Amino acid sequence: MATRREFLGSGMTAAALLASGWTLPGFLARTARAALPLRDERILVVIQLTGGNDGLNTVVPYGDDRYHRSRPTLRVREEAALKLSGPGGVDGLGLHPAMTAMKDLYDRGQLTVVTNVGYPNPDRSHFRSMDIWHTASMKPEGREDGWLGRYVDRTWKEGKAPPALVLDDTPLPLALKARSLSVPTVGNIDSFRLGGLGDDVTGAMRAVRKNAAEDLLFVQRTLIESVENAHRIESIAREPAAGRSYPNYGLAARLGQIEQLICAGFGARVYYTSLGGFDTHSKQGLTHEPLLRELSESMAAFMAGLKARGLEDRVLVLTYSEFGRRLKENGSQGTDHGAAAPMFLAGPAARSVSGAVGGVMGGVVGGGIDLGDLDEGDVKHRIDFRSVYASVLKGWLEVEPGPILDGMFEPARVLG
Amino acid sequence: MTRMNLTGKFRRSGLVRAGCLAASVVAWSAASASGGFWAPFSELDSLAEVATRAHAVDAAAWAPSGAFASARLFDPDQRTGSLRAFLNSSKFYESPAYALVTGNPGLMQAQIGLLGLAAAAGTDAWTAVGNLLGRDTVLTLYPGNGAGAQPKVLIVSVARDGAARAKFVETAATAAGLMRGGKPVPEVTTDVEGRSVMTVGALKFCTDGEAMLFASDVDLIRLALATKAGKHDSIVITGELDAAEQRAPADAMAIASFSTRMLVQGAAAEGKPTDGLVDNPLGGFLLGGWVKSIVGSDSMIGWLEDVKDGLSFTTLVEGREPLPASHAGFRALFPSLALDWSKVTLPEGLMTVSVARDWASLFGEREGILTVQGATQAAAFAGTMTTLMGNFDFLEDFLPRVNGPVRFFMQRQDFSGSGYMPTPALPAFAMVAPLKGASEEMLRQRLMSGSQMAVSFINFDAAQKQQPGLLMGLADHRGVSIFRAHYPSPGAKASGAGGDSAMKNDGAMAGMEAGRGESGEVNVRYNFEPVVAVVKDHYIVATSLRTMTALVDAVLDGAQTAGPAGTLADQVTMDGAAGARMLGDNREELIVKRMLDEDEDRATAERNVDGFLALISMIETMRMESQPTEKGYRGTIAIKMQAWKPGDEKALDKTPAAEGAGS
Amino acid sequence: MKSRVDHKADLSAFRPGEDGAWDLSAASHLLTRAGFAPSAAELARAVGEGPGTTVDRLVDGEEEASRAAELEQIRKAVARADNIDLVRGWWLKRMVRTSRPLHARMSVFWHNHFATSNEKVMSPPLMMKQLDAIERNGLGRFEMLVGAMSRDPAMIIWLDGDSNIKGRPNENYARELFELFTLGVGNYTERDIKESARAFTGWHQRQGEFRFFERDHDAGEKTVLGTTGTLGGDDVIGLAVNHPACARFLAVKLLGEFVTSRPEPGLIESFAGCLREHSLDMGRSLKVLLASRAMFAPEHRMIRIKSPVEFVVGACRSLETRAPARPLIDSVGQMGQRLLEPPSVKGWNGHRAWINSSTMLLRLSAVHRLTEPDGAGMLKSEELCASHGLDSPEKVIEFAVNITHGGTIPAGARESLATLTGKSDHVLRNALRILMCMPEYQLA
Repeated sequence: MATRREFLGSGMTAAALLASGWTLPGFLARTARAALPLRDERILVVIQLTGGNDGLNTVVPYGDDRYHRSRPTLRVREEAALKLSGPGGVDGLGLHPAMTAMKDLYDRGQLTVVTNVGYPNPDRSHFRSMDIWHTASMKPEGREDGWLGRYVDRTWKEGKAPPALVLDDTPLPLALKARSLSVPTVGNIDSFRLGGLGDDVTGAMRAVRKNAAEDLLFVQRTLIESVENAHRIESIAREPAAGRSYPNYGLAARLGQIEQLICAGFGARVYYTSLGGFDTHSKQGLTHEPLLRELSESMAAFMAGLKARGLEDRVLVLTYSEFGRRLKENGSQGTDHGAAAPMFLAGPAARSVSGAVGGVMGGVVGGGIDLGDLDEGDVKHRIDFRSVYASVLKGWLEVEPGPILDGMFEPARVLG
Repeated sequence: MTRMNLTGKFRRSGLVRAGCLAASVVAWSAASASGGFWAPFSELDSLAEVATRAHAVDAAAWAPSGAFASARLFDPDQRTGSLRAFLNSSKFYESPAYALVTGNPGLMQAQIGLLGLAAAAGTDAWTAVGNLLGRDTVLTLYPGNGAGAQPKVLIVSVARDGAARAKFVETAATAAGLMRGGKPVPEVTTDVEGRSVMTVGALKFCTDGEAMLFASDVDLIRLALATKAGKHDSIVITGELDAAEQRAPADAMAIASFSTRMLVQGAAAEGKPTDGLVDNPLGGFLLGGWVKSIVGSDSMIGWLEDVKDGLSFTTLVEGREPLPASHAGFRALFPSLALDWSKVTLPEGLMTVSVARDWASLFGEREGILTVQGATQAAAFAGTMTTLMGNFDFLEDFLPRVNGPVRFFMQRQDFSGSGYMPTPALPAFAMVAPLKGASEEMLRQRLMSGSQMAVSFINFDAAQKQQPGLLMGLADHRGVSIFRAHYPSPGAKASGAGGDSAMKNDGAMAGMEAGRGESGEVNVRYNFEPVVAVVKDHYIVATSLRTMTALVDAVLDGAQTAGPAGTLADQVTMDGAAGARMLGDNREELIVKRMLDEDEDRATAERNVDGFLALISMIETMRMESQPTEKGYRGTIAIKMQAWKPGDEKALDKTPAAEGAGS
Repeated sequence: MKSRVDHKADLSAFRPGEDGAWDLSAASHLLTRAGFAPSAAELARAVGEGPGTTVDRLVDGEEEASRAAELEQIRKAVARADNIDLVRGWWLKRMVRTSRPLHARMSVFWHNHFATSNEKVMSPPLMMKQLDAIERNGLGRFEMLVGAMSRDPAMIIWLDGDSNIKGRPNENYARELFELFTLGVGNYTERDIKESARAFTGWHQRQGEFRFFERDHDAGEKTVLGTTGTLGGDDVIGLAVNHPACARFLAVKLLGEFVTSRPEPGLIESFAGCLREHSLDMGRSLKVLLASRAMFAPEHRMIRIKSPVEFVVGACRSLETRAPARPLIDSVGQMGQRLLEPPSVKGWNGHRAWINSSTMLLRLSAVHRLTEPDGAGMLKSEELCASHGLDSPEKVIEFAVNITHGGTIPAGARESLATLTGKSDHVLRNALRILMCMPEYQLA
């Protein structure tokens, strides 16, 4: 009932829902094990930056006077910006100084910065704009599935592990709503342990069924597979921790669990998590910088963790936000809802990987930010986000983007 | 050290015997004369007790050193007398609370078993319990073996009358099948140092002279016996309870000590080092001082005292160093002139909380108090508040104006006028913040428009979910304008976001019946309505108009008093009877929940709910206080009981009239 | 010898002996399909009475007086409370306690058919009211049920009935009435939907009561499914349920619930005919179906994957536990069936969609909790052994195999059971764990 209890505790309700919702085996995989049959499939990790990340203070056009004039209190000074110039980069653009860890990735060619990403006729409502990003449709009203949900519908086979998993304390994002199954959402992977399955139990489970109907064999197969998987992961979990640590951030903790799941061979190809708090209407300096630091250090720790497990060539990280923010700062040292903004793609550097499509291009894709040509005071989009999706679907997840996205989009040149 | 304390020390440590008899008599007489609830049953008993104590041995002599927690109970056997008297005089046996005992097969069996054993041992049940408890009991906890292991427990109790207890123990052990023909049954007995160790449930048990030992394993019993024999240091030698002994008043019923140092070391050993930073901003700003003190201390001590008709528990934690400068905000110093809230009682008030903090300092030092996430959340909160108040800076302009303790109130709501009883029938909440210059027009407007904006956000969110929004309006009470937001009554049509702000003087809502659009009827029954007012430099937020008007009256009519100088304590006061009535409003739901969740039939569920409510209604007041000391904190919880009054646990259909407190 | 005659599409009555054995296995099959996994007493009674009598009792049986009183007591209290978990708890509890399991099973079937979610309705009392309406009409004539659903306040909120007014019809209800409730796609046109929506204008709810508003109703001429006239809502309902496609549509759904999700065309036709013959009376039609040769055809046994509700409630009933409501609600919800909040107006997909690696582990974990010693007060293994006189491992194992698998398990599984020794309650818990973790236990 929508009483105050629910009303005040909507965050808590979500958490409770998750706690009572999907729980998964106790994937506490702390170390990579050679014996573990890792699949070769490539994995996409999406980090949603909720609230509208201020793109102009994330990828800073420090070379443009109009930027400095428009943001007297919030601007990042030229000397502080982490410059993205050099081969593949753009002069006059730099990352926020809190993003040194991501700048290191960039310098190693493991981070592509995609600038000016958005869509036509930008909507400045959080909800509608997020729905547009989630559904990859300009008319999200009434749509019951998201772009990753449609990917799930295309790839899921009955009885198999879900192809996507949300690791977050929020309800299932529309992006992952699918028709064929409900994508699992977990707050914390440690919440379930398989116990009490002795040899007598598994023996009876495995005993050969003669003349069994297909439905029974289907259940038996799934049963055996699930139990084997859980046992395997449990045995990994009993091993001591690797000793490598993630920084003390919520996002880092979630990415750490995603790393464990990938390592344990959970089987999902898409993982989704989020970082909230980007709706910085006032006193932006207090919150935006810590958020960017959290994003940057968590992402770098995740990449390092993957490398330690020898998984770095298999994982692509993508970040986006529902919109950027206005060029001109408002009267309360904050910024209001805007339009186009940068996306980040982190993964193996394309040149270091053999094969047709290996990894991220590195550098800046999308060019500089033209502050002279604004749309109602906001950055205009030059790259449609769906062409980035198309590139990821086609080049990384190896599915045809056409049926998943609402129409055909030329894949952006972000992967190579 | 005062004389009383000296007496206490001698009395307990067992180091001084007959020489202090006279002093002890003085102490006991004082305790008895105070009429304390849990004081020994009669003065005669005390005298007899003191006489035997002179030759007695302390239970602590069995407890090996190295405990991470230890507690000592003084004369637990004789304290049962006052419990017995209270139960007799308080109508407990007539109250539904007693049905909890008679209705519980386990408890009933235990009661019958006890009666049987007592009869077999030739005594009454209360004496039997007393025999079991003894005159001196020590409970100690030791770390388990290995990480994550259960702690090990040892309980040693020394009998006042060794012969009586021996007889009772033999009767009980025989009934339990542990002894046969006065001898331990060999199959269920282990021999340790010539004593028979038997198993009682999860515990091992043996006697050693006048002492009775319970432990979680045989090894601990062996160690306890060795300790008594002087082959191992006891907690008396290492002085693990000394700090508690010294600080507790002489007539404390029990003292306890908890090693915070071992706690911190244990956490570090498990890879969870603690720096005293808190994750949750609200928790951090409320209890961060305690956390920091605990982390920086060696031990935490406590004691239990009897107060008239009740009990009081005090705990003390002091760091090795005073709290760091980052935590200065926990010791708010406010001007001594303040509104006197001690006389303010809301009708059907359930709870009041008073929190004294220098909020500006806490927010400024957030990174020294909270973890990175916590500090980020706190900053985000400050940003949101700044936005809501039309860019009136929350950190720089608002918080420094808070110039007194912030008070929270909880009041049982009266829904009789609303035509329905919401489920759950929640109490109303309110917050009163004294705010320097709040009545200045500019600030007043910011506060009011901020509230309006907050409601607009709520409505926006509701509209997104196709839920009805709050209707906004203004009410007036004694010339004070109250911003009020209100849900349409059930059956009215939802009108989506937005609302009317027409003004009416009688507090009735304008536009309440408004209902255009086709979003359907409101099927939701809400149990709160946000109200905001600024009066005489106080900012008040509440969830019911009735609570608001009562608080406005309190501020308008309240006397300015010279408040206490120095650092202020945080206080929480609860009224059990009002709480029971509030829960009683939800009696039906509580009963159904039990029927479904506990699988009880209606009669059983009613009995259990009514028993629980009766028990709560017998709590006259519960007070908690947290007072900063030089290097840490002193916390007190005091419970005062009262006799059961028939009907208190039942929902009152006719609540006391909802007039404002000022009338 | 077993008859090799093909009975897969035969609705004539199953004759024990000639058509196959009427044994524990057959009785267990019937009771599990037409209700929930049975207790030992239910099983024994069915074996003794034979299929015909058992089916008649399933359809016509009354609630035992003591249970009826107990359940009604809770129902009344829950109906007053504004808490959806209490409604769920009451419903699940009734499924566990009722002496009319087919009726309880049908209430879930219809909830899935007329899938309405409290997420939009936001009124537990109205959801309760809808359940009551389903309960009253669930085994009666379908036309009555559709009529009740069309007037149900929760349904009106769910499918926007209140905004369906003359001149501005809202087609939501009319569309689902044809597509999901009565005919299925392909048996009506967009024009039928538009015209029918007009017929339901003015069918609103006010304060949780159905009200017909004359002034909002479009009384003009309409053409629906080939019939023209000043049609009202009840006329449209009549046209829909009497349309030939309706019986076929219902036949497929009911066969999927009770017999097979892949029925032979002949079975669909004959059961649709049976439904028409009985004027779409559910009780009378189900009596034919549940006692038919098709129901007991070997091809139709052990091919239906239990829903979370069937799995959990069945376990409680056959193990005679008096499970508290909370774990029941949590278990079925985690396994993917949050009652009163179906994922969409189409309800749950069911069958294989219930099973994936996560839900499979949850089912195993539920068995583990249920069979743990002192497991949350769920399984009272000592009481069960005492009340059924299980004083040897052999008796315990026979009992356990009977109540979980109708007496029939693969030979390999017998070996695991044979190793169990010790006290009866210990053997029982371990035998149940083995038996309920077997793939067969997921099917009915």
